[in-house]
Amino acid sequence: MRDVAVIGVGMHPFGKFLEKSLEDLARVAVWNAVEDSGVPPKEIEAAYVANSLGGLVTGQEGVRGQVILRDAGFSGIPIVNVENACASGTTALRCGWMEAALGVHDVILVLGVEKLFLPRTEDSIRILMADADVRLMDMGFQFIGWYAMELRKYMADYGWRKEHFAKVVEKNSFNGSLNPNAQYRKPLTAEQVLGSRLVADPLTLYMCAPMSDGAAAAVLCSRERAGRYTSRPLVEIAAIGLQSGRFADAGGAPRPSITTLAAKEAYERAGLGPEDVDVAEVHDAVAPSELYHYEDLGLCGKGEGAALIEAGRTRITGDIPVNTSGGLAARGHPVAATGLAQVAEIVWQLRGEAGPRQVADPKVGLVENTGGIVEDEAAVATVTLLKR
Amino acid sequence: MAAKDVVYQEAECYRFDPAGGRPYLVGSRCRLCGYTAFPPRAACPACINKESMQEVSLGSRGAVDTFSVLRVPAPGFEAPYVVAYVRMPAGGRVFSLITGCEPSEGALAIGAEVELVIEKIREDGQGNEVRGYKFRPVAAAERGAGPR
Ligand SMILES: [Zn+2]
Repeated sequence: MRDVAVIGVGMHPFGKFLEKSLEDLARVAVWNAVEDSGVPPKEIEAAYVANSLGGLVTGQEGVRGQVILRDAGFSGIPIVNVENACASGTTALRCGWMEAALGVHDVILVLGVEKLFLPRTEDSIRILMADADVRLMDMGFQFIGWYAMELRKYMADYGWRKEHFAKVVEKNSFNGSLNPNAQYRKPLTAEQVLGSRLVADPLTLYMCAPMSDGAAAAVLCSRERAGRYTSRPLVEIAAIGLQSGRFADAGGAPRPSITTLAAKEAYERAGLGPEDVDVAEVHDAVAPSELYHYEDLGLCGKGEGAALIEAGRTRITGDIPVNTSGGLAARGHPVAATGLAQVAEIVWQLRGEAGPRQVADPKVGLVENTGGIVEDEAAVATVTLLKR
Repeated sequence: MAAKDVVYQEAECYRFDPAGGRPYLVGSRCRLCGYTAFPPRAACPACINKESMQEVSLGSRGAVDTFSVLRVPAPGFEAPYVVAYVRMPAGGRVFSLITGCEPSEGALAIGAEVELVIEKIREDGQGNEVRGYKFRPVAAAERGAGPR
C-alpha cells in the first residue's frame, strides 16, 4: 500500500438553493478543490462521485457522476458512481484512497453532491426518507424519532438531560456562526434550543440537522507525487474504517455500535488511538447524538458524553474540539456531500487554515460519517483518520 | 365513489392463535446456533447459514425498550403518535406504533409491558385502509396474566 494525501479540498456552501441544480453545486466544489490542490485539471486521472438521492429528485439514475462531471469539464477519465446513504461521501473517499494506495492511479477526484430542496417540501421529505429501510417507513418510522429513541436510552441509563442536548447545539451553532460554508450562522442559546418546537420527544427543532443543498470535493494524490503539486503541509489519510450494520439483535446482549467497529478498524490500521485525536468532525444528524459518538470513538468512557459537553472540553478552545465546522445541525446536511465537508474541515484544521475556528496546532484529525437506518441501527459508518 | 379496500402489510410477521384468535408475532430461529430473527429471515445472519432457519412464535407481549412521541409524521401518518422498539422475550427488537396511549412523554415508560394488536396503521395513496401489527400498553389489571 502506498501513502495517500488529501492535497485539495473545496465546497459549495451548504444551504437552500432552489434555483441551483446538482451540476451547479458540484461545479463550484470540484473547481475549488482542484484549484486548492494545485493539480493541473488535465492531470486528474479518475473520479468517484457520491450522490444519494438525486435519482429521485431528477429522475437521472445510473450515470449521475458522468453527467455531473461532464458539466464541470471532466470527462474521458474513469468515473465511478458511489451510493451509501449519508456516508456516501466518505465511502467515495475510501474508494479513491484504495485506488491510489494500490497504485492504479496517482491523482483522484472525489465529489459528494446533494440537492434536496424542491418547490414542494413534502416531495423533499418523501425523498429523504428513502435513505431508511422503506419497510420501517410504512410503519410510521421517521429519522429524528430513531435518534430520539436512541438518546432516551442514554437518558435512562446515564442520567443525560435535555439541557445537555441543548449545550451541544449551543456549542455547534456558535462554531457554525464562524463558518462561511455553514447553512446556519446564528449562535443559539440553550434556552432558544429548548424552547423551539418538539420534533420527536425529547428532541426539538434546533437540535436537528436541516434539509440542505450543497457539495464538497477532495483531490487525493499518492504521497510521492504530491510534492509536484503542492508545498502546503501534507495531510495524509492514515486509515479509513468502514462497517455496515449486522441487523442481528443478539437476544438483548449489548453489541458494539458500527461506529465503534469502524473506529477500531481505523485506529488499528493507522497505529493511532483516541488519545492521539486533536480535532474531530462527527455525524450529529441530531446534535445531541454527538454525545454518544464521543464514546463510540473512544474520546470518553461509556455514558461520559454529557460530562464532556458540560465541562466544555469539546469546544474549539477545549482539549478535544468536536465539530468545529458547526456539525450537521449548523453546517447543514446535504446527504452525500456531508462526509467530504467533514474531511474539508479537518484538512483546513490540520493545515492551520481554519481561521476563527482554528484549534491549537492539531496533528491528527478524525472524521466520523454514518448513513441510513436498517432495522434498528445505522446502515453504514465510516471513520477516517487524517494526519499531518 | 368506489368502496375502499383493506390491505394488510407485513402479513408474514404475525398469525392468529387458532384457539382464541389472539395475534402473535412470527420470527425465525436458527436450529444450529439458536439465533432468533425478526422479521423472519430465510438465512441466519449470525452463523450465515441458508438452510437453518425455522419459523418460531415470538408471542404476543413484549417490553418497551425505548420510545418517542413523534410530532412530525412519516409520510402517510398523522402526528402526534407514539413509536417504540419493543423487545420480545423470545427474541427480536421490533419497531412499532404504540396505540391506546396518550401521545405524551409521560404516558409510556421504558420497560412498560405491551401487547400485539392488528389494526389500521395508515391509509395508502389510493385511500385504502392498511392494517398491520402494532402494540398497546397492557392494562395494569391484566399485567402478568395471559400467555406469553
Ligand atoms: Zn445460526
